[in-house]
Amino acid sequence: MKKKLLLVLLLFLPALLLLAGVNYFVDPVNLYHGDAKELVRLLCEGKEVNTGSGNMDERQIKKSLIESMPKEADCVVLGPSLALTVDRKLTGEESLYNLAMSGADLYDILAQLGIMEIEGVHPKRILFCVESSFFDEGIYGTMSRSAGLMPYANYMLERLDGKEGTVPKEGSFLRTDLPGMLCSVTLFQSSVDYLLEHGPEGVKELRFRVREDQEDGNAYLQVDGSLVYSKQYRLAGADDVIRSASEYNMDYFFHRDGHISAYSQEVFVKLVQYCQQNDIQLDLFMAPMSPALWERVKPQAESYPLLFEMETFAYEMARQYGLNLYGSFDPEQSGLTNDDFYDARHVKYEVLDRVLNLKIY
Amino acid sequence: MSLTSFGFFAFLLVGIPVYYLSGRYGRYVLLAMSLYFYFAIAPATVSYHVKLTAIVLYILTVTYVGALLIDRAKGRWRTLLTFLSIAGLAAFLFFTKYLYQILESLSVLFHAPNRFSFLQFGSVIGVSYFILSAIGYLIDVCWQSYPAEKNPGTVCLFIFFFPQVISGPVTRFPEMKEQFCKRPVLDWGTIEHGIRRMLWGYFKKLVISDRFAVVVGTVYADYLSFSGFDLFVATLCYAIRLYTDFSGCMDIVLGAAQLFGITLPENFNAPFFSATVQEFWQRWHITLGGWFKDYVMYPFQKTKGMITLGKKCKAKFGKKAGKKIPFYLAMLLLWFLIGLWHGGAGYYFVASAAIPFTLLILGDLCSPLSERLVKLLHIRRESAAWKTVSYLRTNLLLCPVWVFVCAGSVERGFLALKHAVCSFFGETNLSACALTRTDLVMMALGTVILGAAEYLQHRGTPVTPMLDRKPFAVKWLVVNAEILVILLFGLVGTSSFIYFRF
Amino acid sequence: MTREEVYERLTDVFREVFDDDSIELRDETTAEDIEDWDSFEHINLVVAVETEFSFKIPMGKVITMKNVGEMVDIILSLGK
Repeated sequence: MKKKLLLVLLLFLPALLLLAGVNYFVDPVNLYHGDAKELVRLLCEGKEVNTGSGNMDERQIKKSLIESMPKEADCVVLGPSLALTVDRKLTGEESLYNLAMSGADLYDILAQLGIMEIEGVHPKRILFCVESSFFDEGIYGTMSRSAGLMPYANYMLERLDGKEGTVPKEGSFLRTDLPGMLCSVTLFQSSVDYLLEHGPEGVKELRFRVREDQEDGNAYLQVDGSLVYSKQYRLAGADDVIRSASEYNMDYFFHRDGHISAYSQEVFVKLVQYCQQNDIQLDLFMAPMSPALWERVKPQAESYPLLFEMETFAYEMARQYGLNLYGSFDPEQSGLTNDDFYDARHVKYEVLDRVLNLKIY
Repeated sequence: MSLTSFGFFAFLLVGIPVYYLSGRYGRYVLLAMSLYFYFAIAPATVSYHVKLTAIVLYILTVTYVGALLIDRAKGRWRTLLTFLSIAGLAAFLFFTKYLYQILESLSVLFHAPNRFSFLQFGSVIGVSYFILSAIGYLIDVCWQSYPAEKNPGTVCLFIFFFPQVISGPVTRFPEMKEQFCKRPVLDWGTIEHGIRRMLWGYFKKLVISDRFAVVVGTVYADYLSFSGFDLFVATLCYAIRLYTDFSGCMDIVLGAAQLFGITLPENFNAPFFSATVQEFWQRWHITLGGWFKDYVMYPFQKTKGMITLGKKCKAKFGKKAGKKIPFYLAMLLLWFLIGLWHGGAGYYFVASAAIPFTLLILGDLCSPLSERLVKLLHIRRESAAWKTVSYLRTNLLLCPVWVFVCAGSVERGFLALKHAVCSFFGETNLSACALTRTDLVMMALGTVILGAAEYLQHRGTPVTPMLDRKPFAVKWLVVNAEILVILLFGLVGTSSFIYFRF
Repeated sequence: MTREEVYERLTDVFREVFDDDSIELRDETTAEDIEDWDSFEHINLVVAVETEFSFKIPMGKVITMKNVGEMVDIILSLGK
């Protein structure tokens, strides 16, 4: 009996171990090597960090950042990837922290505010990027990335309504599928593909590490949490931008024929009132799109009312509550050309000050 | 939780030790697992769970109580109760599967507004299969094949046993009950065979099936821009795709059941090695055909009407020819019902009724001719060459069936056939399928391996025991090569199994 | 009715149904041994047997009988 069991194990176990082993060792998406706390600890030590070519969970990183930042900071930047590059040098604030995340939607931002509440983080000002990911239900309704942070978002919604709110348990954010992913066939295939292309030494490139070499051309996070894109990306020219603009999925990101979500407007008003009650200066900014993309939008402007409704709403909020409003979706207003962009939507860091200095209200 | 998800493996990993440790309560462990599985396969909303609970309770009650009442009744009451119970189950099938479709078609036909969306229950997974099992049980009890089961848990388990509940095989009560009620005895050899069977299923489904699906999808989406030859290739690809998908699913299901020491009936027996089209249907989806044969065809054939018809035909046309007419009638009924079972759409009737029926008649009409031809050419029927020819012939004759299924409608089916013949030598455009070299290699390799394995099974020397007799090292190499191919080349996408739809 | 008698009458029925006077029956004879005995002919055979012996074979048994031996057993048990 024992012998038979041993033979069965001998038959099937090696393959299973190979599967789990390769998945864990290569880990192309940093499921098992993406210790956000460790990364943030390095940032707090004043070190810049290469994010590695594997995807790290930005939400975990920014959450850890909130948990380690000083309680009284000068400024906190909130928003999607359009706001990722705003750093201390740009605004001149010593104690600025960039909490922007790719695809940060309504629930992500609420969650971050919730975590700030719990941690007792009280910035002097919030620099808020106005974008469809917050105001379009078509985008935040899918909750594709923010699902893990929902308990914090719900907590913040309760706080905005003036209630006590239930503080989510620590660890409610953890991914429960990690052991299962060790047996994932798709992850295995990605890992093998990666090994075949970059060899076992290439695995190092996937992990985050301290940026020691100033000549290193990879993307990295600065001490304040802001992102510096890879050298290759930063050298994008007008041709790249034009191409990117022609392929841009306007129907999805600008929600063709869709309107600004009433719910998001409601939430935003409560947010403004919350900031005013808590003595936080709320500044809004709108990041322009490239002229190449703007040229595509203009002739079909009636099909994208969302964009103009967001602008109007931001202006209304600024007027009604005395907020500062900077920038515009229209690149011409800041005098930007296609050369001033990395791609269809992202403004180059070097000219970002022109956007932030364009005071609309 | 799908059959290819980690959740399913975790489910098995937990369930197996609990089952083997449970002694004489084994069947309740299986029951709990089955119910959990059935609830876990689809969306986890409260309303869905409530709906599902109601469905399970309804089916179980009608079947369990129905059988007990039938058993106690005599004479006409017995028949009436049987009829009512079956009607209760069939009505459920009708409501969930066909009613909305029929009403929708009617409202389109009469240009009336469609006010029936509330009747759209959404599909109930596996309903077409477990209803058959339940009805079979009721009929068996009516025929006094065995007494009605007193334990509702056993009846529930029989209907909803988790490996088979989604897409069959259709099971019979006595064989299943005997296995369920046995004390679980752990045998590592059986567990090993179960795992190997599941691996074979995963190989068929993940490595072979989905790649062939690409060809079918590309060509049939726009068949007019492909040549007739392309269409022919795509049709053959469909046969392979369908077979590997469905039989692969069955391998996983039977393998999973084997892990618990339970043997489910086979649904396939090397169908592409059939000498005649008739034989093919006996080797394809065996449990479905068997169910319709035992519970529909036989009772139908035994009705007074049919017997009288048979006698009259024999008197008029002689013994041999006289047998044909009732035979054709019975087969037409059988295929019609099977077409209905597949969803009742027009093209399914053409595919699974009209065409097989036509082939049957043609085959019968041509058989004296082919007899003479065989004698003339001195062909030995047992020769490998003739057998190969007959296998190829069968598979070619089946192509029109697949064409109609792929085309998706009667009209498109005829157009596709016409196009295939008229533009056979047109410009070929298969590169539009955009298959990589890896894909093509895997398809070729997979087909060869599959063909070899099926041939060995057909010949009576299946691979599994053969491999068992070899030294452990050989077995180890073969099994792990198989696993490695699945891991490296398996397309674990979001595709679900085809026969899941019924 | 003895077993031999049943066999005699049954053989006649088989020969009549399958139009083959050379058929010999044993306990182990199954559908595989007789050329035309397929699932469709099975019912014709059963009906002929029922007519010959003047009673109905329960449907459940029709489906499950595996060989001629079982058929004979059924006939004997019904005859009582």
